[in-house]
Amino acid sequence: MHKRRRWLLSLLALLITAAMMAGCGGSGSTTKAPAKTEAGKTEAGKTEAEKTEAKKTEAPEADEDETEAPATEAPDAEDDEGDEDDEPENGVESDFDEHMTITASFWDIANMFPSEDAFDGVDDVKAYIESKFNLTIEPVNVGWGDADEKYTTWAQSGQLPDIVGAAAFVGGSRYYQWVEDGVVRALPADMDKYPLSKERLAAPEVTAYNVDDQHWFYPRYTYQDVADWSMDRGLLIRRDWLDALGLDMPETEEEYIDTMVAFAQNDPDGNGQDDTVGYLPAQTWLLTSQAWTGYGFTDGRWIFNEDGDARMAIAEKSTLPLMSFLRRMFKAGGMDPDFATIANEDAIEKFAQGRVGMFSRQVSPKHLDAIYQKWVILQPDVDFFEAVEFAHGPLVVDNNVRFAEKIYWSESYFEANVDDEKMDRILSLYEWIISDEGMAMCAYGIEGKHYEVEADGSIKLLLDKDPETGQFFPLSNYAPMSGIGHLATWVGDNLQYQNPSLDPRLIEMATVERDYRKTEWDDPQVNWPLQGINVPEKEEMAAIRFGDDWSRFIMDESDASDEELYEELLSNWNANGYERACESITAEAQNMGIID
Amino acid sequence: MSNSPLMAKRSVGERFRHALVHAWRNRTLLLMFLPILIFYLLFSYAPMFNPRTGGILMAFKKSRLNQPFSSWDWVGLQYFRMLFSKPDFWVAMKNTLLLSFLRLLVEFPVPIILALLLNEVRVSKAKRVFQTVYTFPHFLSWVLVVGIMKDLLQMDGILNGIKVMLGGEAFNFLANGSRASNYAMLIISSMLKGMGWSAIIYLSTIAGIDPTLYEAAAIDGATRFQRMQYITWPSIKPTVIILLILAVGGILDGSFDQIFNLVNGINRNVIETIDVYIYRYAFQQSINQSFSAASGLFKSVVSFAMLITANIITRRLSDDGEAAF
Repeated sequence: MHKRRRWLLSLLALLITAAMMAGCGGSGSTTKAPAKTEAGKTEAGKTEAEKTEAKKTEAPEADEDETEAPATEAPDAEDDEGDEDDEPENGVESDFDEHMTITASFWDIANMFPSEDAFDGVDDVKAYIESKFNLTIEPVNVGWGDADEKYTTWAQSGQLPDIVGAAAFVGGSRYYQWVEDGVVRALPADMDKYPLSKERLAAPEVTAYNVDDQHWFYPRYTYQDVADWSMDRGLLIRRDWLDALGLDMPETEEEYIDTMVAFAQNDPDGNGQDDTVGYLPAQTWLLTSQAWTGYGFTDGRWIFNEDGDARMAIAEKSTLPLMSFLRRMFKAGGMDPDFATIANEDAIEKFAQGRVGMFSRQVSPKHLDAIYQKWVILQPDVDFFEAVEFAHGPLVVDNNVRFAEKIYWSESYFEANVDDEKMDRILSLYEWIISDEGMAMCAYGIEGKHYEVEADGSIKLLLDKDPETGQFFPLSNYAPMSGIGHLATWVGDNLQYQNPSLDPRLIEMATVERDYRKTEWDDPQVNWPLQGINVPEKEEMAAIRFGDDWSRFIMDESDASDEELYEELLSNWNANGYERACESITAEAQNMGIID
Repeated sequence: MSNSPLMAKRSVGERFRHALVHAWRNRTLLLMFLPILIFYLLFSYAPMFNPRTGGILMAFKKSRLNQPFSSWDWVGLQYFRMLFSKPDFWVAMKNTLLLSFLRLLVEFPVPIILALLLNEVRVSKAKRVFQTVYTFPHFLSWVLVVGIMKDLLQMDGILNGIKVMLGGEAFNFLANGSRASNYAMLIISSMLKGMGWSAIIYLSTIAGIDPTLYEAAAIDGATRFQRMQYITWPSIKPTVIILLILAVGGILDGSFDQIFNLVNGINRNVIETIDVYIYRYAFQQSINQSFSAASGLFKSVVSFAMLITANIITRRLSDDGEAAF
């Protein structure tokens, strides 16, 4: 018995050892390790090809002749010679003879490739794209919270996917390191084959980041008009609460503070409970990033000050009045005490629940819709359009300064080992995505099945409506891979002002406000070449968290004056390399001739 | 003759043979030790000598992605100088030391006390129930525990609700710059989560004590407290010393999971520890990886020095002059 037990223990020890060794083996996972796969030989490729064949899909604008066209080569063509003569079931003719597998990452890209358990329909958009470009896309998932960590790790271990669908670090030290160390490849010098993309690459805020006169990323355009960024920050106030408390729309700092305190303490919803708060930003960085536009430019961008020195607006003393105002508001009880720790989604829900008097967030139609979708469920008896209004905050300087961003936000990168042939396939896909046809398909689906075009050119959706919210179910419920358009551009943001799936009242509300901001508020005139300056000192100050520091400033309830606290912050920033970076960037700006 | 080289050689051979025989006799124990040995070789030693990244030498070169280690430029102590010049590094160092010493003072004795108390529970069913209840939280991940903590401790959470109901004022436990409040939160939560698990090793030591000692003491009229004082405590003392030394060696390991999930912009200056700091620089900030390698190497060297120092101090203080290792 004793001997048997001893052998069992020994066996167990060996098993543990073997398991550990197995864990150290080469990665064979397609989701984690975006290993290069030979075209047509992966199981995933076979599955997709089989699915494509199985699906009789409606190809937009495909005519009879096209359906007779030679077939695309299926991924498993090498295993089945007969496939070479097959024609595509959806009638889409491919410009590419050779099948290709491309690995691509994007935030939550796995949702675009649901399992058969999660999606039992036929994704016509997927079938169309795979046939048209004769490719299989293998998703490599990253989340919003862990994308940076994953990309950093993969870049170090040579495991980046072919397409890093979206990352937002252009101009930072990581961008230059990826370029200099050969982690990513440049786009072709000759982009004539891709005229729409070529036009996008010519924007000054794209070329500002060229290295060796080459483009190293594909800019993911966000809006058709750069001024639309003004709606990426905003204040939403409860109009009905103002009325209930007999208050006017606040204008001065003191009025705002008093109003927020009243929202928090005077039971504005009349439910007899102490369950409301005054002002809540969905995320702390909104505090300095032009949600409050009446204090000049306070965003985390490099600017030239009056002496011609490069500084960061967020760290300048000109930001202090805004922070002092918020500190007074917090001290008076007008700010949500959990503002520094609440998660974005929780903050949206709190506003939608009717517990927040004034809320900061992106306020374009798409983002308003994210609130509205929750609102109609959580507060079905309160009319959103009666209850919510835009507020502009106190005006302390001459005019409001709107939020500004590059015409694109975030970039698509291509791994260094992507060869020219694959690059051509990817750019062809991107070119199609940003074409009218691609944008329409990625936004609305297949014409005739998911939408139709009215006589006046407007889009009429043919999707079902959610009985709970009265809104259309999202296209992703019918064609999950329609989201793939996001690799090249923010499809939803681009088209949101004419998106028929959004409540037209939301679009109208945002359009009126956007037009006002465009005409009445100042553009901060961000100097993009200045943002693109690459000096080692910039890397050394990368760990400074200005937003966190300002949040601590706001929550500081000591008797220290605002000036004292600011001097302390500045001294800490300088100790962490801020001043050195300013000097170095100023010198480089002078060398580049950006400033005298 | 005994000094001849031939004899010396034979002696070595004999010793080797003796060692082999000894190893064969204890082969089951050695086999059970094998996984842990391989674990440390693979995950602790091998990375130090990884030829692709240069291992610990990475701290002395400027790392380059996708480039062989041999092509990286030597930068000497540049990253160490950068590390020591950063105020937030010293803040993290101070937090780590303070928090770890507090943990040693407050957290370390708790499992010992718990084990002693559990040992005194005479009803074996009750003893098992208590032990299970105390041990269970160890198996919950910190992500889950922090989620529970947030529900309990946020401004409109359960604890503040009770506080306000009793006439007190709500307090922002999760986002404040008070060292005392943050450390109390960290230590209490860590204690509640880990004390049951940590007590197991003491309970197993206690289980090995010869019961006749207790019986003899009882016959001599020793009270339960006296039995605990004169039998149980001396029996578990060597285990306590070893664990104490190990705890001192790991003093710079500042409970990464717990703090990573609780740190925010408001409390960062008082609770960010070296581990979280290294992670932040390695994965969240756009800074060369060699900087993180330098931070990690510095931490390991200090930990090693502390372990050796603790061992020497124990040897000096112990009655028989024996070190733990």
